[in-house]
Amino acid sequence: MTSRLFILALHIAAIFGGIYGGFQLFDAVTK
Amino acid sequence: MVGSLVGIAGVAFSVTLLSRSMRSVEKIGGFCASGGPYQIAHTCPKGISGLIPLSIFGGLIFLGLFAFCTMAGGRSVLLLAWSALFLTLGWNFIDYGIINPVGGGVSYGQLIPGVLFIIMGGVPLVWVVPAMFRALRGESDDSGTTGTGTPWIGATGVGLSTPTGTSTAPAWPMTTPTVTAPAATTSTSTRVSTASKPGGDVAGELEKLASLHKRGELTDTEYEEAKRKAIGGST
Repeated sequence: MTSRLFILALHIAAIFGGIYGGFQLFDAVTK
Repeated sequence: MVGSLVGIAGVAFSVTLLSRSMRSVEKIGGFCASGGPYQIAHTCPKGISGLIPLSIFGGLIFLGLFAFCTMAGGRSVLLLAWSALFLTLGWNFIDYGIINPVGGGVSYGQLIPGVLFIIMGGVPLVWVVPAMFRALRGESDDSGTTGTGTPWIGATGVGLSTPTGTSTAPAWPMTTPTVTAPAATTSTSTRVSTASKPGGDVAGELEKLASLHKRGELTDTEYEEAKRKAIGGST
């Protein structure tokens, strides 16, 4: 269970990382 | 593991990029054009004509990467990408439909697709969210029979609870075809199966047996024996 939670946490972190990257790239391109 | 992380991050990245691009077009009225021989009255914001195709195709590629690299339990949440996309874009439609930045007032041309998108994105969550929790609790195995209750997700996501014999590819024998000693194992499986459903769906059981027999995984003798047991077990 702990390892599954860890994997889930990694994936949630990856989602937020992706969202952050999307904002950054958009701002960089459209600025 | 790394592939699924990159895949899911890439999907989030692409949906964000698409959403931001859509909002920037909505701000100028919801449509734009770039290039071509005519004088364009509604030019696109800088970079948008490249970002939108990038986000669409990039999102599909990352989704494929995630599906390829994740485990069976993870595949059951693939549909989250659908919900993320439609809920995000639906919210954008509603946001700019309530107060149209160009004309002012309510724009039903934006609100209607917005509501449709929210419904399209929200309804699958009824299945996906419980599937996520089941995957988290480890109630799905790694053999591909995820048993998530969402048999329409993924190629192998047929649950063990397939109700009747209506399916042409019965879920029950999915783990048995590779058994090297079919005589003992198959009859045991049959016994377990019939015992678990006393007086249950004999027709479905017989169909499964016939399917196994047809595929050559049961000999004539084994098939006859299992059939007798299936019929006998229900009476």
